[in-house]
Amino acid sequence: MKLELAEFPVREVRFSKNTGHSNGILEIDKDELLALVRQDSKIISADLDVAFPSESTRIVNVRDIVEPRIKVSGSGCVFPGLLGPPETVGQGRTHRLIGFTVMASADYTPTVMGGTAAQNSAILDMWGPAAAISPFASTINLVLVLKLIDSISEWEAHTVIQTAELKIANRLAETTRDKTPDKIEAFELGEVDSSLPKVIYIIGCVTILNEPHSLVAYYGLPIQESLPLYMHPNEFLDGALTTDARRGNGGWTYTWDWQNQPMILKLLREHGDRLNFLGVILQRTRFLTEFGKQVSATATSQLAKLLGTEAAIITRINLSGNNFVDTMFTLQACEKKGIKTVLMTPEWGGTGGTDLPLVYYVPEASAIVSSGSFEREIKLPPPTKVIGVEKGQMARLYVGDPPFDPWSELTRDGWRDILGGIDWFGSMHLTCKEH
Amino acid sequence: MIAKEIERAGIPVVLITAMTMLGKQIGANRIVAGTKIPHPCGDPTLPEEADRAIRREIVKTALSVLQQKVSQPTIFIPDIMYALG
Repeated sequence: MKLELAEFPVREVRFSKNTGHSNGILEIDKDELLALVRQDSKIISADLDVAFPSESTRIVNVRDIVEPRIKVSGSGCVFPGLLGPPETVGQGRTHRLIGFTVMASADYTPTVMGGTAAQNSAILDMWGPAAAISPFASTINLVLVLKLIDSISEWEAHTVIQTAELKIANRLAETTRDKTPDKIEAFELGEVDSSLPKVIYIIGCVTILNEPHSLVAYYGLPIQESLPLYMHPNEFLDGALTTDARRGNGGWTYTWDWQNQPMILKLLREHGDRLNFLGVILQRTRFLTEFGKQVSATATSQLAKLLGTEAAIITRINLSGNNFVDTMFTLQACEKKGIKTVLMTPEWGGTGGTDLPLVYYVPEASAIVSSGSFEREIKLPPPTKVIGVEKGQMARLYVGDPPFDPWSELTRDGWRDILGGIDWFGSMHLTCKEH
Repeated sequence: MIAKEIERAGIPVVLITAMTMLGKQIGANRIVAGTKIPHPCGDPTLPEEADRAIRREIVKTALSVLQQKVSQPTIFIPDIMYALG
């Protein structure tokens, strides 16, 4: 299974009479794109704006982020199950616009008024202290600003936002279909030197039952009561995983994160060089009983063992301490079967960094990589431009929270309020030194 | 952690939790295994009588454990089905 990812950089974005891509310039016919979205009667208003790196722009109400990609050869389509039938993807050639995202900023009246099922959003600053911790401050972002009708159900809100962002992304990626890419990178798990260590990547993937969307969808189907799944890494690159488009909180993952999963890309690139990458185990976590967590850990470690794994890299998603226990049980079960493990996770620790960094541990967890603390306070200076609300309007991150003025200076007590502020997969460039 | 602090003040405590390992790690002394994380004292997905029987058994276990002396964190399992879904 070989997938070629063909890169089309976006260095400049302009609104124009036509939609097209050439020499790094993406021209967008706003009316054409918005017409695609306005077909949906559940959308009251839709608009497009662009945010560039380092300009003093703040984007609010962000729910999801997508990188435009299309398949030009090979089975299925990008975002299988959503933009086409759920055919297996991950082979052939896929075109991508790089350095550019489609970002959905949406406003609607919630019907779920609290708890984990409620909508949420995050703030993106294209400059200043918050820009340093978000991967999306260095991309050019086309922001699709949506307002949805009243009394829309939460599931409908998700599908309306997702469909709109995917349609826009798909149309923009389409501009590259007959063009020559700047660069092509091929990904394949071919035969390698048998003495290389056999490595599996386990993603503890919190999913929540009985909610409008369980947080992560596989080929368009929200994952619910599932035991671990084995996936080819190339499937991720073709959009096999998507997320709940109502929840943009920095503690969640976005569709973009799964398309550009940095650990998967790194392991694919190291395959045959330093290691033998066996593939990815997507493990549903956050079982509601210790028994469920143990079963999931047993199943995951056994799947890894049967695949011939010698070493496992384990990461997880979501701030849930509940889900962290599943991950620790899994690590322990792998070690008991003789599989060496490395866990990478961000830490708790409180704003001062003096509280407990991890809510649970097992003695087998002897190799842990920290990707930072998500409980640090951050101050955001006032912006000169705001995208996502009209002048004078307030914005809100969580249902039930007091609204805030997005044109003002803000102090937030956790990086989860910043779009992409929490690093689940090791993509952040910040590091620290002991002194 | 609350359980530990209350005991430090001389009041015996039973912690009912679905995450017994976590209770043990934190150092709670008397830990009773509950049903599920969102509802440790019952199971609203079961018929009412079954839910009530489970609730009763867990609370009864907790009350009897409260009267026992323990020297270290100890897990007590109420006499209900282990897995419960």
